[in-house]
Amino acid sequence: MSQILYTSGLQKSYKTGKETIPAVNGVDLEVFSGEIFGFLGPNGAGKTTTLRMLTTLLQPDAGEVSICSYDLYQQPEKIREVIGYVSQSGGADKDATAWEDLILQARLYGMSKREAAARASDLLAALGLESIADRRPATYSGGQKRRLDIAIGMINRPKILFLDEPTTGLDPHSREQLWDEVRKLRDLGTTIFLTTHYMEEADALSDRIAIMDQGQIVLTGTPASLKDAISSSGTQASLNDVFLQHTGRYNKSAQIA
Amino acid sequence: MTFLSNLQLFYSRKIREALRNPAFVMMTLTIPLLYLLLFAPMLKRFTGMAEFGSTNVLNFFLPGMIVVLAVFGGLFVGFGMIDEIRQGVIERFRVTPASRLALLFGAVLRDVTSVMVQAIIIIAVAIPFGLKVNIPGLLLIFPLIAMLTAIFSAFSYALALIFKSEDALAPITQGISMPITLLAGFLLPMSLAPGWLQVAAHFNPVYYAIEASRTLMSDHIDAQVVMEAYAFLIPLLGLVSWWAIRKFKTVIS
Ligand SMILES: Nc1ncnc2c1ncn2[C@@H]1O[C@H](COP(=O)(O)OP(=O)(O)OP(=O)(O)O)[C@@H](O)[C@H]1O
Ligand SMILES: [Mg+2]
Repeated sequence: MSQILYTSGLQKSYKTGKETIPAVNGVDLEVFSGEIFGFLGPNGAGKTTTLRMLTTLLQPDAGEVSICSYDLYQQPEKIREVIGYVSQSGGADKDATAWEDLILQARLYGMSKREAAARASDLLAALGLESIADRRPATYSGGQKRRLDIAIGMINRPKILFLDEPTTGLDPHSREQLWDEVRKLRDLGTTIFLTTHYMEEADALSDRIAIMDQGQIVLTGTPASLKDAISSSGTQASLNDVFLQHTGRYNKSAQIA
Repeated sequence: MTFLSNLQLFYSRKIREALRNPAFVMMTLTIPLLYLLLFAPMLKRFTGMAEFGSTNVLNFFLPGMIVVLAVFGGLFVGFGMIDEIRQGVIERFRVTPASRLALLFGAVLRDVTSVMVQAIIIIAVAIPFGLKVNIPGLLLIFPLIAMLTAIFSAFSYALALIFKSEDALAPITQGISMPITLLAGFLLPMSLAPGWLQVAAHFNPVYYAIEASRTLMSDHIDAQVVMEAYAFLIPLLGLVSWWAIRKFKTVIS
């Protein structure tokens, strides 16, 4: 498997007044082409901050990043060509119809009007959004809105798609539907880098997982290997157990003892 | 080329957004009328007073109103952008290879367009009230008004990116709008002001715009005043744009 994303010693702190918040504190990651990479961690761990650095939105304080062999500092505009990003808050324009919004996004990547229309139709069909093509977000369901955000994020056929909590707030049906979309995308060759707070989702979707806590990566591996590592004879640990044991102040073994 | 095509895309988006907002359209069209209808009838008494120009009081007061439309039409646009930041729309555009300059100026040009429409309305409606128009003068007023709007609009967008909250933007923009319009002589000519106020006015872009627009609407155009206004506003527009674009390019944390 070839490497598509690589970071080393990635750091970022926010300055608010006199206080300095070290949000990301030396993150080393490796993501391989064609995998679904689950990026987990408690609230405030630094996931969104990491994603915003990887997607050229935020200048790191230190560290190396390369995506598709492009260097973040030297070739940010090359990176922008090959990535897609769906932020925690989405990105669909409340004053535009789904169709208008997709066309605009396609044209910003340099597609002609005709290419843009073809791509927009394909995506609307693929994500089951034809019925909302001519409506504005105020009238969408949560799931429709999220799928439009994702359609917008993948308009340029990104090599790697970053999804920040894509399923938060969705009902179980919509979530399962989104999982299917994500798997389909991966099967078409797109690498997926996603964050989630749902452990069963991370377990079901991810080929590999990294768990972040307080600005650092505390664990990396396949879901199976991570679970096996803490399972004792007879009891099979869940990803939830793994998560709780490695993050935050809460420590199961300490409590039992 | 990418810049121009991106600019056109972002401009069309902002225009469409404005046209879809009935309140925005209504206010854009009626504010100039309100200014005129509520204010022009009070001007009769000033006719013939030397401070208000020898020709026609409306020719003296209208430039002030147009300039104030430009200031307000620019200074408060940041609120809309805070909403867009919150929706994630700005980040979404910044992840694409789209030109940041186009992202900013698509919005600025929309604001300039709406102020131009307002200026045209107020002038057209003022003619029956007795406004005397001279076309060459008007042709030199419009670029000044456009630049002034662009200065405040770009400034406001940059403030929105820095503060990202209405709570911070409201006091700042309101705090600026008061002194900047009063200290420009938009109601009373600055020639009536004490010396120190007149000195202060010379740091105020709104002052230059009003002085130049007034002379351009009068019978005797003072070329010196017009030149000064252009000489002040062109570099200022460059400076504010440069600053705002830096905010767009660098971190929006
Ligand atoms: N703009 C900002 N200014 C100051 N501090 C920030 C800012 N954004 C994030 N932080 C802080 O940085 C830390 C990491 O935040 P981040 O949003 O990256 O976490 P996260 O892992 O995405 O959390 P969540 O799961 O809740 O989305 C937190 O302590 C947060 O309070
Ligand atoms: Mg987050």
